[in-house]
Amino acid sequence: MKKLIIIGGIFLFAACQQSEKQVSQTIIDPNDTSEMALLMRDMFSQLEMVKDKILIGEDISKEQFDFELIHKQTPTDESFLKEGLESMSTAYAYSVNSFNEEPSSRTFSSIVSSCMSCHTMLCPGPLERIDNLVIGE
Amino acid sequence: MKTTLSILSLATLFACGTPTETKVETFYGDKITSENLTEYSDLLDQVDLSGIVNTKIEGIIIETCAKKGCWMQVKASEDTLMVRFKDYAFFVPKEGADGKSVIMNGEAFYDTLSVDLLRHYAEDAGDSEEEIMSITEPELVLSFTADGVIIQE
Repeated sequence: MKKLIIIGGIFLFAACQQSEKQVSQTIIDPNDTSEMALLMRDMFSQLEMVKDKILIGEDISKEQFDFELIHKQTPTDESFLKEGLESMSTAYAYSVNSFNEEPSSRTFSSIVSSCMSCHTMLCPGPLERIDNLVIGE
Repeated sequence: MKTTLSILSLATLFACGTPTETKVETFYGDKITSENLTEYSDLLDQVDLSGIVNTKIEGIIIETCAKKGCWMQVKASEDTLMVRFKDYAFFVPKEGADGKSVIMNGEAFYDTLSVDLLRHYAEDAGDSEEEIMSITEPELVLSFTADGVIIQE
């Protein structure tokens, strides 16, 4: 009888242990992501890959970027459509074309400088992230 | 014997008859634990001593960036901390987090926020043009660059 109660107790304990399940989730962005933000994330990851190649001395002469025009993308809201965005976006496209014509560490850095200039003026939040694209001396 | 089994079955049913509950623990950025928190007063002493401190503290969210969730203001003790996220690599909810308890791991340091940056944050927060333009002085704040955040529901 005692044995039965002990076994029953163990079953009871085991059954109750299963009544609460704990799962964890890691979130990077819980909010809606705009077309413009998605483009920037895509540009960042492509630029980061080329930066890594430059750092390890890999040949980048065949690397090409094909980015949509930033100012043609839908932003998070209209407040992102500030004065200067279109000219900055055009300057950025120009630096991307220069890289495509002559892929090098110099033309790559010129793209990164364009990112920096625009974000310094219009949206400084991502500057810290862009800083990771800078190729040191 | 039969009676004992019936009692055990009933006990199991009553004790564990409720449907399995799934507790979801949500992390923003890196996965961190809620243990070994630093007292805010100790943190201030450490920042005064070292300039920059890697730490884990708790506070209450005052507001999050209403546009992208890319920063938050957190009340710790009587102070307000400006919290940004390491490398702009993750975001927190832009709505519904105000007033919630938060645990964050990262670096604390004093920072001078320029007028332009303060105005940008005010714009992000949805302040009026008048409020934005009334910012004319840089501000010394205790900043926090978080690599992982837990917002407690």
